[in-house]
Amino acid sequence: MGKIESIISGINENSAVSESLSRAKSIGLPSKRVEDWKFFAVDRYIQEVEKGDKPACGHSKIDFEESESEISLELPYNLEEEKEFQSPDGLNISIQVTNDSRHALNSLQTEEFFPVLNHAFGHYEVLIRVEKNREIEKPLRISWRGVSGNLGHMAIAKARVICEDNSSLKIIESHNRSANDNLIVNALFKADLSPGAKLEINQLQAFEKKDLFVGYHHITQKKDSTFTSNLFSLSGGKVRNNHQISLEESGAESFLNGLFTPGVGEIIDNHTIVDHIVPRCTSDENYKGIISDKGIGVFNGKIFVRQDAQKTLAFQSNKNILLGKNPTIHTKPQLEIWADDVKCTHGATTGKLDPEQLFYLKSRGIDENEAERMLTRGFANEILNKVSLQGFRKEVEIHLDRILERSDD
Amino acid sequence: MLNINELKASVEGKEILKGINLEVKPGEVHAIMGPNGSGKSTLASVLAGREEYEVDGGSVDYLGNDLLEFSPEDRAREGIFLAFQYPVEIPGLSTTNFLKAAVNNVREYRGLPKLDAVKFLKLLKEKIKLVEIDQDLLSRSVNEGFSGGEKKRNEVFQMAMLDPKLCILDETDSGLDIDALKIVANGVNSLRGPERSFVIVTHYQRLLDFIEPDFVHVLYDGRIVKSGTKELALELEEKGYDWIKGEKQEA
Repeated sequence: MGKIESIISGINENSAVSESLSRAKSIGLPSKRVEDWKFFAVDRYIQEVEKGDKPACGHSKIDFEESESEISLELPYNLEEEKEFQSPDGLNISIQVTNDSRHALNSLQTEEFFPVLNHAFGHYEVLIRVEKNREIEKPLRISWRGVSGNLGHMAIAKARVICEDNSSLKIIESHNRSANDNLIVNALFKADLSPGAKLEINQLQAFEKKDLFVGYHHITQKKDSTFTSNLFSLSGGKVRNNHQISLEESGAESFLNGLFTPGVGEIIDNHTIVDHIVPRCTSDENYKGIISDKGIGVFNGKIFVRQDAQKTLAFQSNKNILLGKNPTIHTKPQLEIWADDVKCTHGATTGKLDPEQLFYLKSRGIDENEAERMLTRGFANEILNKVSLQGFRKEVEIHLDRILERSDD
Repeated sequence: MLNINELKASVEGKEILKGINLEVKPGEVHAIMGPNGSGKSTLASVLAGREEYEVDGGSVDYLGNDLLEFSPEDRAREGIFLAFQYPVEIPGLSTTNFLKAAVNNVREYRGLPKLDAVKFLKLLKEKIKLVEIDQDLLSRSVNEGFSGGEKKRNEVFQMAMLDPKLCILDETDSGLDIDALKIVANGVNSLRGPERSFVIVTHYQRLLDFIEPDFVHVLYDGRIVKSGTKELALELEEKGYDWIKGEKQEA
């Protein structure tokens, strides 16, 4: 429990946080003894972060802009004011006070430490609403930059998306850090998809080595809705991604694509839960890891197919390649099926670059390092090819190439 | 150009080449024939620098250099090209990007300027005609989902792109129907010239109907046991490899 005190040290007293906070305290910091956290030593990581400089406090600017190609919202962690933005027709974007009533807390429906803590300290959230039957053509970019408020190392990011019937939106979410201070980023992203709605979230994560990031995406889907997540977790100190998808009405489809590339001193831990509650829903999950040197990758994917969820189609795959010295991957694809008329597959593979492929490239005169990089890029391309936003794909590629070049040394 | 002297090689401790002697002069086409397991593909692999083969003795001189000292990539840059028996599929890497990297690596080594996108495309279009490959294949991943014939044509196409001096074809005819065989052979024939030599490894005489060799060698049990002209290939076709095996046992 001492760790929680240290997380909140330096935080201004605020009575409104008390209930969530006491709940967070009673849940306690996840311990490595808990199965889902056994590779992610939150305790130790927090201690490491706290050795570093605290981020400069104070107000950071919020920028909202609509350009030819996208709608862009840049904002700091720890939001502390309400705001309305002049967004295109059919899209409402604002920063609002998070309702801290008991009801709101209960609606979190989680017994997880970080989301509850997020609720305790996230007084404001980004609220995005896409109106019924509206298809928003330009992607909405949400970039978290800078830190406002006075929460010590803790940086809260909080967003909620409401997609009304038959609406459609693509989001680019980026945590792109370049400061020298160290953060404990606690991100909570909720989305509710009404019947026929389409939502795509493209995430680029590039943290600093000493940062700790724990992010939750909670998605609920109604009839015939489609959710796509393209997650590129490319660099960062200690990164934990949690995706939880509830398929609550028939015909809902979910696509989870992920690429994670931990290197020296980095751990990227991905946990996903896809819950098939009702009949005739589809989920397709593809995560690929490129783990180099002393990097640690984790994939833990759970698919639940409940007793009523007949005619479910659920697919899950995790493939990893290991590069350099002492890379580690822990992979655990899990499938729990209670229904009897379903089609489900899951699997994981891990290996080094194929020596046959490597020899083929070298036998054509291609330098060994370049050949390795080309094969690694080829491996990543399967996930990159899932991205429909070409501008975003370019951004990811630039980052990825920089990382792959680095791992040559 | 190529002078192989008493070459011995093994894989996983098993001796396969037991003393190969072969001289290839510029512009010559040599066919290496032999029954399965005689060491034909091993010879091709050792020349290309495949790492799992251990050279236990002998020497290979290539254009005045010790070939065995070169890495596989430097052998390619020096002008050796191996057309694979089983070209590997590389998902996620487009044929165009792969060839561009290959061509520019080779050019850089040879002191030539790298090709820009326009010049590269021009070269690509010129060479692709040789093997009648559908241009759509270029945007697809290397060999992925290619038919057997397409893979072999792609090998000859790469050969044309890299402008090699010594081409080694490892059972390029295996798995080809007669039409594909003709296309591949035409591609190879169009690349023949006074400065470019070929070593063609094949089990059957069939390919040699279309690519006429200057010399035919029979490899058996790790050694070249018979050498001759193209008539030897015909004789082999007629009498079968048992003829060689029998002779060998008598000796």
